[in-house]
Amino acid sequence: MALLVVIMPGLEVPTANAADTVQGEYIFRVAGCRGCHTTEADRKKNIFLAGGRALKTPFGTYYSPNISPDPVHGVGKWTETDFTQALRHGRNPDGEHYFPVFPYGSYTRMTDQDISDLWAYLKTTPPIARPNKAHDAGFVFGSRIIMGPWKFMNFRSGALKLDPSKPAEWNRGRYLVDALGHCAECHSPRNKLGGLKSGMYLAGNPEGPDGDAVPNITPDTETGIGKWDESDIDSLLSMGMLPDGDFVGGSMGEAVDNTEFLSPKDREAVVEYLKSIPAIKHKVQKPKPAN
Amino acid sequence: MARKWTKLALSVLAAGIISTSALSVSADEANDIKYRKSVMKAIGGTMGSMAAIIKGKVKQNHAVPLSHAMARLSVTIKDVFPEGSDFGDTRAKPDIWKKPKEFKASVAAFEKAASNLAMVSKSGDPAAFAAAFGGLGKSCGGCHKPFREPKK
Repeated sequence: MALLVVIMPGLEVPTANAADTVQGEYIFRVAGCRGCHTTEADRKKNIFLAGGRALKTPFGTYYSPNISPDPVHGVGKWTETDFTQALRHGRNPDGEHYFPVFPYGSYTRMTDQDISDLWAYLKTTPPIARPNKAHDAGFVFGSRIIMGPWKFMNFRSGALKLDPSKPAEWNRGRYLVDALGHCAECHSPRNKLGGLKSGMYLAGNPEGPDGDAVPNITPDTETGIGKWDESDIDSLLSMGMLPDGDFVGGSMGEAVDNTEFLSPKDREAVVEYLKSIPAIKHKVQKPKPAN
Repeated sequence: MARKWTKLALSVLAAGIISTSALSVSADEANDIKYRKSVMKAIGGTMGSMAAIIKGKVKQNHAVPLSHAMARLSVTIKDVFPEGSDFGDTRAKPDIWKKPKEFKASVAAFEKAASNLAMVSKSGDPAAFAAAFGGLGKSCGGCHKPFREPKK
């Protein structure tokens, strides 16, 4: 055990490279920043990261903020420390809590190097001067102060620790799924307070984005994707194709806008990891609307 | 007086027709939706078969006939979304009919990608075929993303 403690921090130390914008752009793509921080109308005009996209959740409608490097409305005046605080601790530069619609529960697991590279890239994107839109989430889930106790219950900060008993590829796959890809944010069910239900990792979510059901992606053969082979998962990630030849739309279609950028090696790592997680029998059913 | 009654009768009749068409799916619309789904299944089946070839899951190499079938199938899509086929057992979004220009552009991109795949198939180059197949897949998603509701 003592040996492990000595070795593990050693494994975690990122190589102290200078921030790399090329690598940063890769992380930006794979982590899917652009999707939520850009409205559909802007995307058509090739304007990115100006925020304002409505994100409908069971807790209210949140509007993503401007994360372009505009000094007034965006993150132009931020330091790398501010950026790290946002991703790692879910706090804005004034120390206020972010709402967990921003998936910092996943991004907190990123390595220092990846955060640094991502920040370097973000600063190279065109600044857009557009003010942020206020959230529409009511008293409880619209209150930043209440997010303190919420985080105490539902959030643990810190980079993902490597599991030395598992191959490097598996660890890379887990990192891509849990930290960058933030798959669990939609594919794991949540409790009434919006925390991820324990023991239901990636087992499907009846109330995902826009109220749509999100499938179980554990290797359960009946209710999950246990019947898919490696190449089926690969096709979904690389081009959005399902095993029956259909192509996904909806939220996963959007996620494929990110996963299609995965390098073949990273895609393999994700496939290997997803094949290895515990199978959970859980049929996702959308709750019937009350009338 | 008689004229007044006729008018009233006509308006009652008209209201009846309007409300029936608004509340129930006519047989024609239901058939349109069924037909659309079966055409889509044919396309999905063709895509799935070509994917199996690309991945080397099967020994047969039907890249040429399947991609040509796909190119022929692709031209049906522009006809399977008639007005009125938005109500019933369908995931087609109203935007198909509200934004016809954008919808048409997406369908045209799909047709183009399908005919490109058929052309590339003749070269016999598996890598080029796989790349063109990826492009075609993108065009499928390019329509499903904005114009199809997720599964319920």
